[in-house]
Amino acid sequence: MIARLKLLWRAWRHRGRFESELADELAFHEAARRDDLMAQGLSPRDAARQSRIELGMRELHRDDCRRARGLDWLDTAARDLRYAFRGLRRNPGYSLTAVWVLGAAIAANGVLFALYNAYALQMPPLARAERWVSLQGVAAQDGRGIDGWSPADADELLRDPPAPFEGLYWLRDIRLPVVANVSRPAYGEAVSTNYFDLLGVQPRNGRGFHEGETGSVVLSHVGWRVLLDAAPDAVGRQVEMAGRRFTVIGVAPPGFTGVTVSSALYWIAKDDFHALRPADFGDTPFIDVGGFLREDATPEQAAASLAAFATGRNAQRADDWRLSAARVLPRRGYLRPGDIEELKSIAAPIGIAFAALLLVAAANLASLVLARFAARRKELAVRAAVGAPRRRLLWQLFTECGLLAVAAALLGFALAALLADPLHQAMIGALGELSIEMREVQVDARVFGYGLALALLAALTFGGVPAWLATAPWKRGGAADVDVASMQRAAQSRLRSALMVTQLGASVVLLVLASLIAANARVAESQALGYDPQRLVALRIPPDARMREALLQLPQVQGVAAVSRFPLMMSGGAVDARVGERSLPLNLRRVESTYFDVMDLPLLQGRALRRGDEGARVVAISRRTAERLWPGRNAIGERIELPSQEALEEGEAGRYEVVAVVEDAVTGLFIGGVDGSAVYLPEPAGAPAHRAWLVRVPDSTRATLDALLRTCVAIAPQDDCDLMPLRTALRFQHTPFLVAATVATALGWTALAISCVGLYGLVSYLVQSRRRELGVRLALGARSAQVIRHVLSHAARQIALGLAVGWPLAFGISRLAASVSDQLHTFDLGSFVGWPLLLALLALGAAWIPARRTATIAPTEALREE
Amino acid sequence: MASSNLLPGTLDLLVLKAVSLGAEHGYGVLQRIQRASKGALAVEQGALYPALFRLESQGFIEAEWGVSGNNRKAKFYRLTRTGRAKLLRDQGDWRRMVEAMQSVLDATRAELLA
Repeated sequence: MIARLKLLWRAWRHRGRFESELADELAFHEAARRDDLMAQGLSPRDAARQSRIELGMRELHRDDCRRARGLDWLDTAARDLRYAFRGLRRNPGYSLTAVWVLGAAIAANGVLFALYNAYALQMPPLARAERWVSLQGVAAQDGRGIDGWSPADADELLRDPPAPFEGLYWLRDIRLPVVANVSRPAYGEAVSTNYFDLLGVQPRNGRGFHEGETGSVVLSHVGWRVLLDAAPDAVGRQVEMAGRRFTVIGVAPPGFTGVTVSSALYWIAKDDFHALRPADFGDTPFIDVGGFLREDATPEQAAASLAAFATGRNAQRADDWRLSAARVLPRRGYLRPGDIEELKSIAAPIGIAFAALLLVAAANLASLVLARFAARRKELAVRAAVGAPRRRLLWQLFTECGLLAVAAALLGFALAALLADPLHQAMIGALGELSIEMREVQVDARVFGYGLALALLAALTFGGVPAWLATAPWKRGGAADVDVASMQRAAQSRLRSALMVTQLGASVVLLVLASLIAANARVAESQALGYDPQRLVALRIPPDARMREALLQLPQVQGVAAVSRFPLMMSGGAVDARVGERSLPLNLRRVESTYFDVMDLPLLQGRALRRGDEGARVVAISRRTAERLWPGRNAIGERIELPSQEALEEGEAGRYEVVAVVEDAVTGLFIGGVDGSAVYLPEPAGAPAHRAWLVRVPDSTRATLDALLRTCVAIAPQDDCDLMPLRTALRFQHTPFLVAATVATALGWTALAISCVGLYGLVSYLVQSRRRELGVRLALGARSAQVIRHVLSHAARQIALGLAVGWPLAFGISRLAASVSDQLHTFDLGSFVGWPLLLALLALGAAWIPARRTATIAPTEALREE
Repeated sequence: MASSNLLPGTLDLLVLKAVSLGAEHGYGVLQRIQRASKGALAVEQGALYPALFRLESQGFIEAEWGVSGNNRKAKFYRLTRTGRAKLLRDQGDWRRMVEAMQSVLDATRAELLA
């Protein structure tokens, strides 16, 4: 087979040589035969004549030889391609519209696939990547896969890897406060010291870890840039991590940022991590164990060996973590196998929206193609009359669609390459503020292949039905079947209408939903919090007096308060309460008495809380809580009883007097809105329920955060010193809305543009192909305005039908969304009326521009063209 | 050398056999078949070259340009290893076919009723 393809390729590549050799061979045959005939006594002239007659028609033999080599279908395909190209060049309006419409849809789908590709399919640059595997336990309780291993299990596995493995590494994603050129929490990986050697990654500068080495850190290329400002003398420098000094021993090459989904800024040895966070080394299975299979081993063999290890150590595990088996899963990208499943479930609905856009484009194209094929009836009839079978006609029409698809794929790929990374950055910008560096999204050959496959699939769909219909009259070749021809024209017209209505309907759905999502995002953004998130920073660390003193000494700190839950990141805290005869849930917030000053929440009634109130059985409540519990009355002096229950700490149960009513605020997650049942219980710093400090600063700038982190690390190096500016928390919660709004709006606008361009192209084409008929109408006395109205009324009918189909569908989907979350606003006049109306107007405008051209048709010219 | 009187499907076998006797150009292949059959089998000249091209594409023969006895540039065909295997296989098939045909043609009523 390969030899055959080689010969075919050589003949195709060196076509001139193939032809001349074929001619030489036949000429030799004729000359040799002539010599023989002359030797038999014929005159040279007779011999030449006889040999020519015996050989027969050379051109036919040549054709047979080409066919025998497989060149005939290549020749036909090349001819068809040239023909299709010329046809498209002669109709630039049609070709550009088709390429743009499909290209835009391919670009959108290409960007989505590029994102999926970057996380789920792209591989880190590893030696032996095809043998890279993850080790997973199977829980004895419920059969779920457990991605991690306990430290004891992981150590044992690394000490003595089962035979099918060439080597195993130990890895955990970690986040430590780092003090270098900047101070910030930074994500990295704690790894076994064989990590770099096993992965086959050679640091660009310096070296990887030596066995048993401690106190050393290897920076990633990003980490070197972010933490040390890309200092050329980085190797040998000291950085402080969680209060301990580490020496930089190497900088990894630019392409390698670890083997997990977020980019690691650094790697430290697992023993160092153990020294920094001994409390993390319990029984919980949180360590990734991965490695490489031996060349001759299969994942199944490896899983069998691993299962023996996994079940053999059950006695040392807690009940929840006992294992019944193990899996060895080949790795295909940065995501772990379990994470890929999760991603797929999230990506599916998004994929459906993008597929809808592709459907709009394909429907649009189908109506365009249908119009074009209908206009080529005469040409098809001539071809059929000279003997082209229907198969050939179909093939020619397909070739043209294929050519359009390839051009659209190229355009889509170029657009996707241009847009993918900026869109990705815009979507995950908030993660950057959480100190997570995400990887770059690159558009590679795989994305191009995906785009091309989509384009060809769309071409088959949008070209298939029209081509079938257009060639139906020549089912048996030769003369057209008149009945079939007229039926086919009627079918084409019906199909064209259906397609136009479908795509307009789909555009209405996409636009209305996009507008609803955007409206929700706007409402979310404008939500009043009751405080200024720019001036508040949460520091997640168990509060104590030393930390308060240290923080208050910083010039940037204007106040601190210990809290059980800080706003925007922690929800919950509901407890059962009794007010008079009523029993109801209230949201209990344990705060230090300084909380309201730090939050800058105005006091509305009663007195401000003070130090002595902590533990004095008094509470403050929010305005809405007061209105809800004691409508129309003064809440000061009223009582709230907290019965003994699990949600309360020791000594918290009892009767409380309301001494203050403060302004409302969003105290939980931002999506929850203003807390309508907030009760603030004053407790001193260090109370068991307190989890974090809330710090008031003039502005949460990088320098302020830097100072806070340095102070925290100095006082409590053993803790994570997790700093969270509330503006970041807010932005992080806005992100899903913004991403959804951006994507939906982009999809909606693209659909609108595609529909308008498509309608424009279609009406232009119809006007062009009906020139003669319209010319006759004008010649018979019709006024231009009447003809324009006639053309437009047809388009208007389809637009109205499209709206009639799209509206109820959009309404249905929005009701469905409403049933999922009552926080969503699912009716918005602008969305349901404004956008569809705009779509109708724009679509009508798109039809009007070409329709106006009918006014310029000179009847005599239109008739003469025939 | 007039019109073909070959049984359908036998041209490839004849060409393979002719080429197996040593590298030869197209015209020589034709002559070998004719001489070996003592003029009984005439291959249509136009059918020969597509057969050679097809067999070459299938990898049963390979070609190389050389110089003929008359000092002309000619394309010589030679049998490949897979071609030799095919020739042996096809020869066996042909012989079995001839024997079977012969048995049927020689059959008598008495033999068939026995």
